[in-house]
Amino acid sequence: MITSYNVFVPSLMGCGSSLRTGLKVRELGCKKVLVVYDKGLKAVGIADTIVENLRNAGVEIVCFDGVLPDPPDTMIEEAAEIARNEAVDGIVAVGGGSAIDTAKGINVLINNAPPIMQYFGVQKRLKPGVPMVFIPTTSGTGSEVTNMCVISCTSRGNKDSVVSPVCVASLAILDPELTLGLPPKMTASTGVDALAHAVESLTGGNSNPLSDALAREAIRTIAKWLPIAYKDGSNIEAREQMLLASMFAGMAFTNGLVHLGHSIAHTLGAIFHIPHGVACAVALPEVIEYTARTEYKKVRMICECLGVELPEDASPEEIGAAARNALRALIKSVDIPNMKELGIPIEAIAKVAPLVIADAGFALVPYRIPASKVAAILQSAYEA
Amino acid sequence: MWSKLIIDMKALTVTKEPLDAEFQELGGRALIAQYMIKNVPPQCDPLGNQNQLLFCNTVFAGTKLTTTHRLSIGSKSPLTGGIKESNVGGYAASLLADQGIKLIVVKELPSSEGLWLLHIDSKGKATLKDASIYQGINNYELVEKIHERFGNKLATISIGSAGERQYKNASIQVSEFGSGHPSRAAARGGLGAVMGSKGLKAIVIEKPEERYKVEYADEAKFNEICQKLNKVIAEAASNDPFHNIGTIATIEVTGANGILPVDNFSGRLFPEYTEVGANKFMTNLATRGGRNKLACQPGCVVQCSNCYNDKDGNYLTSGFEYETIALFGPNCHISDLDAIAQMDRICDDIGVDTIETANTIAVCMEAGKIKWGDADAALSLLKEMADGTEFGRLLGNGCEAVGKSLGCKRIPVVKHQAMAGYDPRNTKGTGITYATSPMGADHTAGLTMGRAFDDTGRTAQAYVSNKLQVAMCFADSMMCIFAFAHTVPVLPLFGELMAALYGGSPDFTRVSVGLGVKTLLTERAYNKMAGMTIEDDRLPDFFYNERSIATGSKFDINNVELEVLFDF
Repeated sequence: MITSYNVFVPSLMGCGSSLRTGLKVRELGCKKVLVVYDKGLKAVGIADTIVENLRNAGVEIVCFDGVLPDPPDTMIEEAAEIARNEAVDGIVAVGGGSAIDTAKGINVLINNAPPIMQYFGVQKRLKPGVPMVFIPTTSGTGSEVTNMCVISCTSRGNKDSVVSPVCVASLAILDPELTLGLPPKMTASTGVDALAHAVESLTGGNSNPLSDALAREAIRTIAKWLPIAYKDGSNIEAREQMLLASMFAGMAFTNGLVHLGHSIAHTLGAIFHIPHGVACAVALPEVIEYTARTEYKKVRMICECLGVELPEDASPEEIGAAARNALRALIKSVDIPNMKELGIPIEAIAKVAPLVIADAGFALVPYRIPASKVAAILQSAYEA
Repeated sequence: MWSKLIIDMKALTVTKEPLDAEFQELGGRALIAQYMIKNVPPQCDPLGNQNQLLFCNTVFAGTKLTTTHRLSIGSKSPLTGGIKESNVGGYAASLLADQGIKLIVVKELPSSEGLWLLHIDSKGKATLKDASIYQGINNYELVEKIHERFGNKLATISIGSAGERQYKNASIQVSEFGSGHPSRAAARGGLGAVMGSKGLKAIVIEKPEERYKVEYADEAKFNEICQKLNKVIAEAASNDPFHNIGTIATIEVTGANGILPVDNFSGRLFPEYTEVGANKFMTNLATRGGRNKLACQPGCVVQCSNCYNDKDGNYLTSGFEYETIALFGPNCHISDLDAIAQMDRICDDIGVDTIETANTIAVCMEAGKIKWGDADAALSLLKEMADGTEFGRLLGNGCEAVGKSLGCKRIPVVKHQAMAGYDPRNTKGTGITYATSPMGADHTAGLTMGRAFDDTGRTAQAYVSNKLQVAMCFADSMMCIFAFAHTVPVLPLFGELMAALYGGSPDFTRVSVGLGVKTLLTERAYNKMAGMTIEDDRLPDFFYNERSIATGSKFDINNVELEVLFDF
C-alpha cells in the first residue's frame, strides 16, 4: 500500500507554554488578531490571561467570546464578518473543539464568500486565510493539529465538516495547566473523544503506519491516565499525558480518518444535543467489533493496547468481542452514560440509523454496513 | 396508453398490445430487469429460443425532458451469461415514443434460415418483411438501402455481418438523429448476436403521421419541473468538456494519471497520449470539415457527438468516443488517431463493440500475434473479423476467448466482458464497479474517477461505487447519463417528475429505490439464478498482483468490501 503521511502543525508543549502565546503570534508576523473563546473560559480567567499575554507582546486584539457548543454555521458566519470588518491578520483560539473549529470556520470565510455550507467536504482550492494559533483547554478534540472542522448546519439540521489546508493552524500550544480546571464529567467525555479518534483511525481505510503508531500510543496512554485524570483532576502528570494522547489521536485521525463511530456521534449530537465525546463513546465498542471482520489485525492491536491478551489463533469475531468488552470497561470506568441513561428513547434508534448512513463521514467506513445493521449496533449498545 | 409490440420470430407474427399494467411506471434499465426476471428463464441459452430481445423506452419517454429518448436494449447476454441492458442514443427511441411504443419484445427463433426486417410505418402499422436480400450487408450500406427503400424520415436499429454470424462481441447499431449514420452502438454484451440468432436484421421506425400523446397526471406541473431540469442541465452542459470537445476530452485527464489503459492494462503511462487527445481531435475537425457539438437524439443539450472526416475531408466516422480511442489507441500502443477512426468505422459497420474488440486486439499484441502499435496489423485483424475467417470468427467471440486461445495470461475481463478505458488500480472505485456490476466490466455502471478521496487509495471507493451504481440504474431508466450527471444538485426533482407524470407521491425513493436499488438487486438475482457466484465479482488476478508502473498502485480492495457492496 502506498500512503501519505500528513503532519501539519508545529506544536509547542509544556506547563506554562501558553505564556509564550504573544511571543509566538508576533513571530508569525501578526499585528491584530481575533481571539476566539467561549464565555465559560472567560469566567475561569484563562481567556483574560491569554489576551493580556498577547497585548503585552504588542498585538492588537479583537475578541469573539460567543462560541457555542457544536458551532452553528450562522455563528461562524457572524464571527467571520467581524474578522473581515476588523481586518485581522491572525486568529488565536482558546478552548475546546468548539472554539478551535469556530476559528477554522472563520478562517475559511476570511477570503472565501459565505455561506460556509458550500465548502463542506474536501476542499482543495479554497483561498488561504490568516495564520492561526490554537490553545486547547480540553484533552479530546485533537482539532489543534487537524485539517478539518466540524460545523452544525442549521438549515439542514446536521453536522458536516470542511476539510482544507485553510483549517490548519500555524502553531498549536499545549499547556497542560490550562486543563487542570476541567471538571470530571468533561474530563471523561473529552477523554473518550480522543479514544474514539484513536481506535477509529486505527481501523479506518486510510490508516497508515504513522497514524497506527500514534493511535496505539494514544490508546495506551488514555487507558492508563484517563481514569486517573477523571478521579483526580489536579494530577498534572495525568493532565499532561491526556493532552499528549489527545494530540497524538488528532494527528492519527488526520491521517487515518474516523468513520462509523463519528457518523453515529454526529447524528446523535445533532438530534439529542449530547456532548460530542459521549456521543462518540456510546456505541464505540460495538463499532470496533464491527470493524474486526476486515480490520482484525488492527482490532487485535487495540486489545493489546488495552492490556487484553488474546490467543494466537483468535478469530476475527473473538478479537472483535474482546475489544468490545475492553473498550466498554474503559468507558464505564469514567462513568460515561449509555443511551438509555442519556434519556434517548429506544424507538428513536430506528429513525437514527438511516441518518447515520446519510452522514457525510459514512463514506469512510471500512466496509459497507446497511442501516438495519447500524440499528442493531445501536440497540446492542443502548443499555450496555 | 403505451403499446407493446410482440414479435414472434417462429410464427413470424407481430402483435400490438397495450403495455402490461405492471410495467406502466417503468422504463429503460428498470423495465428490462423486471421484464427479464419474470419472462426469460435465467438458465436459458442466450442464442436459443427461450431468450428474448427487448427494446424499450425510458420512464419519461414522449416528454420534453432532455435526452430522455435513450433506447434500452435487453436480453440474456451471450458474452457474460447474465442479464444485459445496453442503452444507446440515436433517433430510434424518439420515433418509437412518437409511435406510442414503450416496449418491443422479440421472441423465439425462426424455424428456417432467413432474415427479416421489422417495419413500423408512418401509420403505426408494424410488419415483418423478408430481408434476405440484405444478408451479409453491413450497417452503413444497409442504412443507405433502407433509406432508398423507405425514405429518410425514419430511424434504424440494425446488425451487420457480425450479428448475423452471432459473434459474442456483436453490437446493435442505431442511426443518429440528423445524419442517419448507424454510428450509435448498443455495444456491450453481444446483443447483436441475439438479434442475429432471431434472424432480425433491422427495425425500421418511420416518423408517424400522428404523434403519440403521453398521458400526464398533471401536465402543467410536469412541464414546469421539466423546464427547471432542462435549464439546469443546459447551463451546466455549456461548460462541460463533453459538449465543448467530446468524450475524447477524458484522455487529457486519464493520460496523465495512469487511469488511461496502456499496452493491455500494463499500468504504464503512454507519453504520446496527446497524439490521440483533445487538441489533435479538434484540429482535425477544424481542418477537415468535421464537427462536434452534435446531438445524437432530438432535443439533447449536451451534444457530445461528432462527425470525424479523413485527411481528404470525406466522412469517416461519427460518435467517435473516448473508450474507442483509449482502447484502440494507447491500450494497443497506437497513437494514430486516423487509424483509430478507421477502426471505429469498421466496428460500427460490421456491428461490434469497440471496447471488446479493442481489448481483443490488445491481447493479440500481448500474445505476440501482431506487434504492439502496429495499426495496419490491427486493421487486418478487423478485416478478418469482417470477412469471417476462422481466426476472425474467434476474434468475434471477444477478448477472453482470444486471450485463452493464444495463451495470454493477462486477460482484462470481468464476467467474460472486457474492461472499459480505465485502469482499476488507479480508479479503484471503478474497479469495484467492474467487479460487482451485474453487467460485467462496465464503466457506465459507475465510473468513480475523481469522486472518492484519492483515485488510487482504498478509502470511500466502495461507498462511491455503491452510490453511483444505484444512480446509474435509475439514470439508465430515465435519460442519458451525461445529461443526468448535471442534475445531481436537484435530484429530488425527479421524484416530482414521477408524480406529475404518473400521479402519486413526489417521493424521490420512487426513483432511487424503485428504479435504482430494486433494479440492481433484480439484476443480481437474475445472474445468481443464471449460475453466477461471488467468485464472478472479482477482478482478474493480475490487477491484484501487478503494480501499475504509473502510480505503484495495486488493486487492494478486500473481498469483504466487494461482497457486502449491495447490502441495503
